[in-house]
Formats: sequence, structure tokens, C-alpha cells
Amino acid sequence: MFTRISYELRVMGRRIIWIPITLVAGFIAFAFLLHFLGVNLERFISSGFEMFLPIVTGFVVATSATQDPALEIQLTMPRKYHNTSLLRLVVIVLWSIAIGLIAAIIPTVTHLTFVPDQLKNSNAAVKFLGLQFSWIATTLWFVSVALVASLLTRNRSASSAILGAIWIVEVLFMAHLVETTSWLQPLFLFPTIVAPQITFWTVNRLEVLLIGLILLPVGWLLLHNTEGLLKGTSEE
Amino acid sequence: MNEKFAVFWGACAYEFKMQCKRPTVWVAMLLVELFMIGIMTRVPEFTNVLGHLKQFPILRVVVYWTDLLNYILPVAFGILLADRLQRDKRTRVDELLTATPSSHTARLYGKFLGSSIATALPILLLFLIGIGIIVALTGNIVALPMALATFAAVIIPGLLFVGAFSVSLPAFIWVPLYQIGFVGYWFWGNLYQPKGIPTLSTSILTPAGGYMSLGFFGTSIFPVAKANAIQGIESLLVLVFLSLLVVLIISKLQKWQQAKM
Amino acid sequence: MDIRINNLEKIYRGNVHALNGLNLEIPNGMFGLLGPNGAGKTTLMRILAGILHGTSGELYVGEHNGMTAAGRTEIKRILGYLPQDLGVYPDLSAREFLDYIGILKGLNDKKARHKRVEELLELVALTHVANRKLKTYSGGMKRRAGIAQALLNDPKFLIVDEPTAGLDPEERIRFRNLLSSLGGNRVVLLSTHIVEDIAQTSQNIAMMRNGQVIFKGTLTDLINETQNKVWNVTSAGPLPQDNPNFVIVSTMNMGASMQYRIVGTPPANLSATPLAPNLEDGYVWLMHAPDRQPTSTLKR
Repeated sequence: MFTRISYELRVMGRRIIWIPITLVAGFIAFAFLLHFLGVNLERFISSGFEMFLPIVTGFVVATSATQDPALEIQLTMPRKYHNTSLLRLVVIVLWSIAIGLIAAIIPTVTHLTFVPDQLKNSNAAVKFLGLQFSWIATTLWFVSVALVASLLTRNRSASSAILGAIWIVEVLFMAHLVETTSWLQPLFLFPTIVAPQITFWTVNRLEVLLIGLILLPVGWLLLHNTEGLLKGTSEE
Repeated sequence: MNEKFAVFWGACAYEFKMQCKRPTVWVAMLLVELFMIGIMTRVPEFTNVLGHLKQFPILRVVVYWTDLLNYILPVAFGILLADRLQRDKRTRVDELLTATPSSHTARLYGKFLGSSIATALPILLLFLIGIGIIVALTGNIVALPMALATFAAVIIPGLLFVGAFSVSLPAFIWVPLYQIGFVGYWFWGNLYQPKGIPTLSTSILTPAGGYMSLGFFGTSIFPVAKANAIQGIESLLVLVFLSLLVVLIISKLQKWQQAKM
Repeated sequence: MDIRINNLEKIYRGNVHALNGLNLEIPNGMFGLLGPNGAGKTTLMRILAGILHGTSGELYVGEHNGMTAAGRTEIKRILGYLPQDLGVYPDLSAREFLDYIGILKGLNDKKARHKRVEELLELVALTHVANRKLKTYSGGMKRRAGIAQALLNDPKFLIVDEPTAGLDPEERIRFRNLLSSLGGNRVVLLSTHIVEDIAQTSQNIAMMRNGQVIFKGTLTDLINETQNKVWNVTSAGPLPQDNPNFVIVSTMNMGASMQYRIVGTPPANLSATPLAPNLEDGYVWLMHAPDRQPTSTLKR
């Protein structure tokens, strides 16, 4: 299995490995700069986990799901391509999560974590786990949506455009919208950063995770459409 | 010079047609537009303007609609344009074109303009639908020339700027990386005014159009606190100039890179 | 093992008919499939390889039913496939690429897999460059790596789609010889529009046009079909290119006159000498015969 995974990583390209590392390194470097500018770092650092790592992972998944130079050969293998694709997705997500978790040690040790109101009275372990769960839930949501969108539109750029628009709307509008429109609450992706005071933070995190988990099998089913996959690689 | 213009015009027309025929552009833009409109119907300010259209000055309504489109749609616009050069490489069209005696720079300018105009069509259509609704609900035909002015002054310079960077920069950056960076840039450099964190969103370099919107028409939804018409002109000229400059620089860099191979 | 196809249809979205009730029986050994671009060859190959699903009809590879999901999975276990547009992973070396495909083909025993990879690298003469990344390979080398991956599981059914397109003459000869050596105890289906490839490798052939098989037989049968239909015609001026009675196969400018090799009925006003037909003439004749009927439904 290890050999298989190492091949899948190389097939997807080394950039898959470097992108989350670069993002985290960039955030740390920028945090240093902001520290000297006297900016409050907690919220900025947390945004790296909850806002940036998920969309970056989503973009990477969209790329992996729609671009395989040897797709036609893959589709003739006794090992089903939808399983291969899912394995790649799992590798991407686990890698991003691993990098995120390692990076999360830095704000925890330096006491630079930004904690939502609902976690403020919890002990240190619950706080740490809750915060990690928060960005992992958002990451899974973005990954699932990226997978489904890229397979439905059969195009990485289209999927990225949709993800980009969702991200902007989530950052700038959702905090206000959830106040007046309760059914949007399960779609609130960055509550820790833009509305830490909300009373439904825990429920929201679970709902976001659940939506991600529901969409994942949808993407897996779409991966069965070999005709669509072949068409997707020839377009652009 | 005439030959270069012919190459530019040919590339522009071809890229326009090709991008127009891409279902992806229309489907992605339509989905983003529907998403945007859906969200807007829950935004109190938007519903307030829509519900009391006649009570607002017509210019403010038209500018509000223009700014709204320029708030989110350029994100999709920039992302959809970013894979154009990579496509040429994948399909080996770039080799074919390089083997012709035509000017590389003229071709890149043509590619930039043609594909940008085509990708802007869904934005223009939504803009016109919105203006049509405004005219129908207010009965004020003056909205039409105003819309022409706001589209030309606020949306076009911004789209040119975004289009120029999105078409040409992926020559040297992996496309998904550019697309990721572009989303972050659009947020940080146009829509967000953070406390203490340096940003371009309050400078005349912002392609969202805050300076033109506020400077020319007196109102804006972007984080630009104050702007006069002169600053509006400055911003517009800087954006157009930078658009042309970045295409030129990338074209020269590509030629230099080819010469090294 | 043989392959039986009965009334196979493939209709793409938008009501595009790629295969129209195709009937074909493919015996063991090399089998050539000829046809112009757009005849439906690649669609047929992809259906046989389990990539696409037929819309209706029957398809059996040995005892496996290619119209069911379970059957397709079984076919994939005994299949080797070299697609027309061979995509490879640019950052893997040929050795790694073959090892990876071996894993996907279910060759789980690491030692046995590595041994098989080395054997195939040797067979396709890539051992000396096996550690080079595939992105540095020439078209011919990539093709050879492609055929090696197809052979990893010692397939009973090998499909090669347009394998020599874009190769230089030497690479083509080498590739054809390699293919010929493979047609022992397996079905090797070679699809191409290059007549010469078929002539050098396959005795049994079929020809496709508009999603149907319009000829099935041996090379001799095909040439016999064209007896008394190939002519050498000399004319003072150029012959019309779109005459419905004949097709110009070749033209030679003799200075004062033009000499043509035509297939069909020669113009009555010109002197014509009969010529011995070759495979290319047979191909041209069948492709332009308007009254050619598709092969009949197979009896099972």
C-alpha cells in the first residue's frame, strides 16, 4: 500500500506536496511581518487554517479529479478508477491535514490561538481539538464541493471559479446573513474567524462536516461516469 | 505596423470565438451569478434598494448594481481566463504559432483582449438584465446612458486589469497556484480593509473600481473612503496602463525564454 | 478465446450514432481493423476495453459479457490496452510507470512484478533508458513503454489503437515486428487507418465505415474483391477528381501525359490497362462502394 500511495503522490506531482507547506510557510513568514507592524496575530493565524488551507486543498482536489494524463489506461485497469481517484483525494486531504496539524502546534505553544466564544471556557485539550476539528470540517466541505463541482462541470477552472466565489461570499457576507437567515447557518464556513461570538458554533461545525461527508459519496458516484471523465480531459 | 495589427486582430477574433464556444465559461459564470443573486436576495441592503427603487436616486441604483457585479464576478472571470496559455501549451498550438512569422507580442495582446471580452459577456448580460429591470421598475430611461458610463468606467478597466494578469502570468506560474493566489488577492487587494495589515484595496491600484465609482459617480460599496474625479481618472489610467504593460513584459519574457531554449 | 459482437450500438449524447448495429467475430491471433477516421474504430476499442458502455447489442470476450459491469471487470483482468492518445505520467521513469501499472493490474507480488517489468523493458528494448523520466522519451519510446504496460498481465486480449501513428519508418517497422510476435495464444486487435500496418501484421481483417463492419475476411479475400477493378489509365490532361465511377489512387506526371492508377470503372474514352490489386486498392474500393452492405448478424 505504501508503494501505491507513493506512486499516487508522484503521479499527481510534487506540487501537491509543496502547496500546503508553502501556504503554511507563507503564513508564518507573513505573521512575523505583521508582528513587527504591531498587528494582533491570533485571528490572522487562525484564518490560515480555517479560510485558506481548505480552499487550497479544494483547488488541489479539483485539479487531481479532472487531470490525469493516463486516464484512458487507468480506465482499463481491473482496479476501478473511481477508487484510485478517491485514494488520491484521501492522500491530498490527509497530507493537508497533517501539515495543518503540525503547523497548529506553533500558535498553540505561543498562545496565539483565536478561540470562538463557545470554546472559551473549555480546557486546553478541548480547545485544541475543537479548533482543529473546526478547520478540518471546513476542509472536508471544500474538498467535497470541489470534487462534485469539478466532475459536474468537467473542468478544473470552472470548479475553481465556483469555489472562489463561494469563498468570497462566505468571508464577506455570511456573518451578516446567518443573523437574519437561519437556514444558511449550516453553510457558514468560517465562523471562528468572522463571527466567533455565534451561539451555534459547535452545531455549525458538525453540520458543515456532515454536508462534506454527504457530498463525498456523490462525487464518488460521479467518478463512475467514464464517458464524462474522458470528455473532461479533452476539453478546456 | 499594419501586419502586427492584423495579427493582433486575428488572434483577438479567434480567441473571442473560441472562448465564446466554451460551455465551461457560460456554465461556471451562470452558476456564480445565480449564487451571487441568491445570496444578494438575503442581504438587507440589496433588498432595501430593490424594494424601494423609486425612492433612491437613479444614479445611485445604477452604480450600486455596477459595483455589486464588480465585487464577486471578477473572481470567476480571472480564474476562467487563467488556463488559456496552458491550453495552448497542452494542445501544442503554441509551437505551431511560434513557427509562424507573426509577432508574439501582438498575438498575446490579441489573446488577452479576445478571451477577456468573451469571458466578460456573461457579466455584461447579467448587467444588462439588471439595468433592464431597473428601467422597467422605475420607468426612468436615463438609467441606460448611466449604465453605459458606469460599465465603461468601473467594470471595463477592472476586467482589463484582471484579464491581462490572468491571461499572461500563468506563463510562469502553475495555473492552480495562480488561481488560488488570485482569489486571495481579490479579497485582500480589493474588498478587505484590515486593521494594520497592508492592503491595496484602498489604493488606486484596486481593479474593483472603488476610485472610479466614488470619484465619478459619488458612491461606492468598496472600501475607498474618499475619492475625487481626478483620482478616478488616475486609477482608470493606471489600471489600463498596467494591463498593457504586464502583457508586454510577459510577452518579452516568453520570447527571451524561447531564445534560451 | 474469441470475441463476438452482435448488433452493437453506441449512441453518444446528442443522438450521435458512433456504432450502428455492428457485427463482428474476432478469432485468436492478430486481427486488423481498418477504417477511415470517424468510422467508429476508437469507440469500438473503448467499448471492448470497458472504458465506454455499449448502448445496446451483445458483446462477449470469451465467456465474459461486455455489456454487464461484472463482465467488464472480468474482461479488464485479461486485457492489455494501448490507446491511440497515449498519455503517460511525465515525472515517472519507464520502470516506475510499469511498476505502478502493474500494481493497478493486480500484480501484488512485488518480486514477481519487478521481474515482469524487467522482462518487458527488455522485450521493448528500453532497459538502458528505464530510469529516465518519461517526459524525456521520444514518441516511439513512449509507444514502446505503452505496449509494455499493456503486456504486464500477459493479457489474453490485447487492443492496440493506431499504434504506429506519428512514428518514424524504423520505429514503425520495429513496432510492427513486435506486434506480430505477440499474436500467439491471444487475440491481438490492431486498429489503424494505415493500410501498410495491417498488410505486414494481420491475415484476418475487418473494415469499418459509419459505425458498421462492411468487410470481414482475409487479406486475400480483400484483394480478390478488387480483381478487375484496378486500372492504369493514361490521359493527356488531368482526370476529374470527383468522378463517381472511379477513385484515383495515385498520379504520375509523365511530362506530356498523366498516368493514373484508378480503382473502379475507367473512362470509356481513354485506354486502360488492368493492374494487379493491392491492399490499398481493396481499401479504397470498399470505402467508395456505395452499395456495400454491413456484415450480417452473427448466429450464436
